[in-house]
Amino acid sequence: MKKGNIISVSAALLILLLGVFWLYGTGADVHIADMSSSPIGVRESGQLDIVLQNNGSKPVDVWLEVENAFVDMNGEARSTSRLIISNDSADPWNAEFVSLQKPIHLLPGNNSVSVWIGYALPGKYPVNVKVVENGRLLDEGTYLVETPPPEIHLKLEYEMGRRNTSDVYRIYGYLINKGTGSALDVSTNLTVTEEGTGEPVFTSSRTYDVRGNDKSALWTWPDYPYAIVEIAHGNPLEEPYMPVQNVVIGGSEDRFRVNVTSTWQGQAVSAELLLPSGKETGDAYD
Amino acid sequence: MRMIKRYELLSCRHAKLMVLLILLFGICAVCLGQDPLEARVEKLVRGLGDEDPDISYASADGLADIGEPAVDPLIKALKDDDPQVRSLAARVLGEIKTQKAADPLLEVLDDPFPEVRMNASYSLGLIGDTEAVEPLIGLLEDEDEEVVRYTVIALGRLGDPRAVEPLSEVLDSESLDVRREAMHSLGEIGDLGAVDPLLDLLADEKLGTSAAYILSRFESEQVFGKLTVLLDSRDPTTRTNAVTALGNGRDPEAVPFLVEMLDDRSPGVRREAAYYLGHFEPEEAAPAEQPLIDALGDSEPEVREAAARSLGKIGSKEAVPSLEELLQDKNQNLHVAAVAALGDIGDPEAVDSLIALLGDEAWLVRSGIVQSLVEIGDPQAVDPLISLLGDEHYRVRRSAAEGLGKFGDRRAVGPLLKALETERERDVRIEEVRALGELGGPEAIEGLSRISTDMEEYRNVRTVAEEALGKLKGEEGAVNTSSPS
Repeated sequence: MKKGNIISVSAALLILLLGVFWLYGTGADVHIADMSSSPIGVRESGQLDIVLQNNGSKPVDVWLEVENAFVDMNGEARSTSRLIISNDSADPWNAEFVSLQKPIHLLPGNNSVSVWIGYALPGKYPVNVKVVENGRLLDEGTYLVETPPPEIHLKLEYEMGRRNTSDVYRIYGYLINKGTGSALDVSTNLTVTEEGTGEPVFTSSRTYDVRGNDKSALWTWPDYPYAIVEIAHGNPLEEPYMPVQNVVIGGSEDRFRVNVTSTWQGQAVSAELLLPSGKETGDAYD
Repeated sequence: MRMIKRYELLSCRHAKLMVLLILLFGICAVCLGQDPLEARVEKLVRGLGDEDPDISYASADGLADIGEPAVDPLIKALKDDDPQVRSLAARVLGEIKTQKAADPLLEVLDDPFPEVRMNASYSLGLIGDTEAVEPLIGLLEDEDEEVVRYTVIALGRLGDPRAVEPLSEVLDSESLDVRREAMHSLGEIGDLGAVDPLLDLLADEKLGTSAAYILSRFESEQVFGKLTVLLDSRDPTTRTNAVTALGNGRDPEAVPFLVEMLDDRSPGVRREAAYYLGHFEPEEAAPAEQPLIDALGDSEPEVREAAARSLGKIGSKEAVPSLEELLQDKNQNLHVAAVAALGDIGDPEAVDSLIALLGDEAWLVRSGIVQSLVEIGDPQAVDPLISLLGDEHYRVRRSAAEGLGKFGDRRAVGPLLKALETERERDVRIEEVRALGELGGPEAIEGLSRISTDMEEYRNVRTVAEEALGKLKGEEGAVNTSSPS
C-alpha cells in the first residue's frame, strides 16, 4: 500500500474513532451499585432489587434490559414486563409499576428499582442487567439468583372403628414440603400388598401439588379418608364407601402393607402402614 | 522518499475513500443517535405483525404502555398492508384513548378485514368521540356479527341518544349475544326513548330478567307507571319481570303493588314479590309484614321460603312464632330459610327452638343454626357450639369455631385447642386458630405459638396463628404501655 493511502486511511479511521468516542464516550455516569435477591422458591415470584447510582449532577433517563428474569419448564428465558420503582417506603403499595418499554428517570445519587423474577425449576439462574442510554451501554451486571428445590415428605395416619363384625381402618395422608417453592404434579402411588403372600391387591395413582413450607392432604373429599381397609371378621359390611375410591376388603387372616410413594424431579419418598397393627390409631412417616 | 503534497492527500481517489468513510460514520451516527423511544416504538409496531401471538400481543401491550409517543406510528400502522398490524394498531389506539386517533380510526371502519373494523369501532367507543356516533350507527348493518356486537358496545359507551333507535332495532337481531349487548348499551345510554323497547323485552324468557334490572335503574315516574300497568299482563313472565324491576328499584311506592302481587295466580310472581319485599327498609315494608306472614301459609314452598327470608330481613318480631312453626316443616329449604330469618330478627325467644334443632340430619340446617345463634348472641349458645366442634360435617365444625370466636367466651379456648389435636380439615383448623386469636388469654397464646412454629402444619393455618399472635401481643403491649407504673 502506498504511503499516501496509509495516511488517508489512518486519518479516516481517526475520525471514525473520534466519532465513536463522541457517541459512546460521553454517556451519563450511571452504574449498577448493587443487586440483591433472596432465594426464591420454584414457581414463586420474587424480586431482584437493583441500586442504580447516578454520579452526575442532573437527572438522567435510562432503560433497563433484563435477561433470564423468568425461565420456564423448558429452560426458555422470558423477559419481565414491569419494573418496580421504589419510593423508599416500607409500604409495598407505595411503589410505581412501570413498563420496561419506558425510560427510568434517575435522580442524582442512588435510585432503587426492582424487577420481577420467577423460575419453574430449581437451580441457579444468572440474571443479566444492562443499563442503556440512547443506545449506549452504560453498565452491565449479572446476579446469580438461587432457586432451591422443594423438600418433599410423606406422612400416613389412621383411625380404626368397629362396625358389626368388621374393623374399618380409615387412612389419611399428607404430602409435606419442608423446602421453599412449590412442587407441582407430584406423582403419588398407593400400593396395598397382602403381607403373607407379598402380592399387591390394590394400586392407584394420582398427582398432587404442594406449595413451599406447606402440606397437601392426599384425600380428595373433606371428611372422607384417602383410603379404607376393612378387615371383616364375619360377613363384609358391603359399604360402597363412596366417594372414597381406594378401598381394600380382607378377612381375619389378612394383613395388609399400605405403601404410598411420591416422586418429583428425581426425589422419591414413601411411607408405610401395616394393618391391622394391633393399635386403634397410628401414624407413619417416610 | 517522496513528499506527499497537500493536493495528493485530497486527490480524487483518496477523497472518495474519505467521503465513503465519513458517510459510513454518518449513517452509524444517525442510527445510533436515533431517539431510543422512537426506535422502540418502531420495533414494537413491526412486532404487531409477528406470526407468534405471544410477540404480537406483547408488542401491542408495550405500545399501550408507551402511550402518547406511540400514537403517530400507530396511526400510520392503520394503513399497513398486514391486516393483523392494522387490527392491533386500532386496538392499541383505543387503549391509549387519544382523541388524535379518532379520525384515522373512522377511516378504517370500512376496512375489508372484520377484525380491523371490530377493533376500530370498539376503540372509538373507548376514546369517546361523539363524532363517531353516526359512522358507528352505519356499522350496525355490517355483515359480520362480531363487528356489530363491538359496535353496539361502543355506542353504549358513547352514551349518545342518537343511537337509541338503531340499537332498539338491533334488539330484533338473530344473535342472542348481539341482542344482549344492545340491551345493556340502551341501559348505559339511559335515555327514556329506550324504555319501551326494554319493556317489550320483559316477556323474553332469556333476556327479560336482565331487562328488568336495567329498567329498575331508570328513576322515572313514567317508567314506574308503565311497570305497574304490566303487573296486569296476561303473560306470567312479563308480570314476574315487572315485579323484579319494581322491587329492584326500591321505590317505597312499589310496596303496595308488590303486596298485591303476593296473591297473583302464578307461584313465580308470588315468589318474586315475596323476595323483593325483603329489600325495603323495615319501616317502608311495614305494610307488607302481615301479608308476608300470611304468605308463610302459601301452597307453594318456594313462596313460603321467600316470605320467610324477607320477614327476617325486615326484622319482623311478629313473625317469630310462625317461623318457629316452620322449623317443624319437612322441607329442608324451608328449615334453612326459617333458621336464617330467626337469626336476622335476633329475638332471644327463638334460641331454645333453634338449639333443639341442632340434631337435624342436614348439615346445612345445623350450620345455619350456628350462624343464627351467633347473630342472636345469646350466651346460652356457647355450650352447644362447643359440642359442634365434634360435628361430623366440616362446615358445621367451621361455623361453630367461627361462632365461638365471635362470642368471646374464653371457656371455649380449651375445647378449641383439644379440637385442633385431631381436626384434619385445613379450613376448619384456620377458623379454630382464628377463634383462639379472638379469645386470647395465656392458654390461647401458648397454643398459637406452638402452631405458628409447627413446620408440619398447613401454611395458611400457621400464617393465621402468626397474625393472631401478633395482634394479641400488640394488644398486650398496648395494655402494658397504658398501665400506670
